[in-house]
Amino acid sequence: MSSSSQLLIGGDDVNAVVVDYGSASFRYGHAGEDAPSLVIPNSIGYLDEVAKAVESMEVDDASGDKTIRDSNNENSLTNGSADSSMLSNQGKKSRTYFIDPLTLTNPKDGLEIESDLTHDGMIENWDAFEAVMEFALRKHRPVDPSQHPLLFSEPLWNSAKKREQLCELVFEKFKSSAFFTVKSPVLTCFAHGKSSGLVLDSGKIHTTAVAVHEGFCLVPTGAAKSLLGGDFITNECRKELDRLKIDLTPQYMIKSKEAVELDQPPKYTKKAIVPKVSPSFHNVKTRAVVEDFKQIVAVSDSPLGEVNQDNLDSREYEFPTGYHTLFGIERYQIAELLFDPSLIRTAPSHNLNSMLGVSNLIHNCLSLTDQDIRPQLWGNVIVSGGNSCIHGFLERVTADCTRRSTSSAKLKVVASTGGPERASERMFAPWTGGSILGSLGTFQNMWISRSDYEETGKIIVAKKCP
Amino acid sequence: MASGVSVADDVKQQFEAIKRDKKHRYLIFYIKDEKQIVVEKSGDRNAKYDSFLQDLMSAGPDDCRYGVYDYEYDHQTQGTAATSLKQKLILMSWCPDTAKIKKKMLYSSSFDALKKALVGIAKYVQATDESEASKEAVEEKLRSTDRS
Repeated sequence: MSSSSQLLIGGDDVNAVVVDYGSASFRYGHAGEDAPSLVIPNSIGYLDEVAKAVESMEVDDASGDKTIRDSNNENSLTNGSADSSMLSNQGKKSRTYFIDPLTLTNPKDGLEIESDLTHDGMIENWDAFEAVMEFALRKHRPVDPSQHPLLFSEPLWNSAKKREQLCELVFEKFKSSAFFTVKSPVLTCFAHGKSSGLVLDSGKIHTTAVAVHEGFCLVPTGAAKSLLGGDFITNECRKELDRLKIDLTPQYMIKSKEAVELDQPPKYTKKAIVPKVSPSFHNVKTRAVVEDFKQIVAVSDSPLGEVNQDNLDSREYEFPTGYHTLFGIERYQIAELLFDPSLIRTAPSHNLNSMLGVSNLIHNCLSLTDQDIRPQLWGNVIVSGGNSCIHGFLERVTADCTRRSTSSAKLKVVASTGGPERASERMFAPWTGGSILGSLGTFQNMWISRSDYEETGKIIVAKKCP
Repeated sequence: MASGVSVADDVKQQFEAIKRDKKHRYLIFYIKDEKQIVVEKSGDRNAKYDSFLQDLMSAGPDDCRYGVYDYEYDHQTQGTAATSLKQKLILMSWCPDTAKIKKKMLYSSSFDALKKALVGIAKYVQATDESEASKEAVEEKLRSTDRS
């Protein structure tokens, strides 16, 4: 293989770039480092050119707030005709993305937020994804992609078409020297120094349990998936907070607030001039309030029905408005649904079959695998994903598994633990695995090199990447 | 996915020397320069299990090793008073929890290559702490497949 030996010129260290995209965020960094150097949440801002044109016209007119709002509304209503009259054939192509998360902290006229970068863990909005990659490679820490191989994580169920599209993007658009993609559960195993294990990944949109054996995912036999993830918990929190009629006004609208006593109505003043923000911006910011509330959500270490409720401690939480109150059993009730979906009150649009409790997932996954490797998987249950950072999650998984364990095999639950700083490692586990893999000397002859790609085309990804 | 680490010919030869000629009691392997599995130490035929463990762990708590041990134990067949001596080869990967992640990953993803290279191993043991590598744990594992 002359192509791969070319790659190795200058030693083993090819300085690969590792990209891990999940349903919650996009992680980027150089192989061999401990943590990703760039993490972008999966909601990125954009301004459409059409909106911009209107904005500048209004500035010329020097008219007041009201007219801007009116014309913006009009613009959004008659988007199509405005397009054709003012900027013919431009349409959505002249969209400007604001990737840097800092640009999203302040409201801005017409700024929309795109939250569907990925769907079901797979890349959905390729324009936005390209913009994110562009930002990471050229602005964040400028590198010449032709000098750096790109290593990607991918979900277990990634489609052949999307893999090929990514391969094409890497070689054609970014002119990278080499490309490789690895299933995230395998990378999660590597991040924990293992090549086999049962990976329980509780992410933003779903929770999955996947069996990995000797560095390969057991597909499709060894995977179980449930829609109970971080988003589900956020929605449940929202329902609960709405039920309690709590004001969820986000920070960006608040000018000042006064300290109030516990449980007293908040005293705050709203900012007089708030830029005309889009509904998507407001939604994301309101959701962020609920997301923040999630830090006090906790899982009790045994099923809630069996716990003496007096033993559950209450925690105080303060909302951006200044209102603060105590949450006791509610904290636990929400997260309990992850482990016991039968408690879900309002039947959601999804059918209940796709809502499995965490310990059921592990057992389903195990029962799909070969008898011989079960003890080994049982001894290497690896917990990862942002949602697993909920307080008490790990302890409950261990307790539930031990309780349901029928075999004599020794159960061992592995996860990055030790304080909130280390917990973030759980969110980035696939990235960390990629970082280790990408810096291994022997991995360097596995890459799909540019000449491999030029010879075979994008279908090579199916041949070279398991 | 395998790591791409290869197994040195010397490893296979030394292993044959245990299997056929009973030349050593044990062998310790390590991965040299993240590329190749090579022999680090070998144990005399009279060496005990304790010295095997000592050599296996001699690299310290942040490093990993592989080891082959020719394990002998008495086996009592049910219904008879006679005992017979059994000899079985075990292959152990030693990846302590305290080791560097990269090392652990390298050793665990290369274990498969070593398994394929060494034919005739009775049991594979993946040890991450001293209790899993102990004589008792290994013997229990070996006896579990013996007919009683």
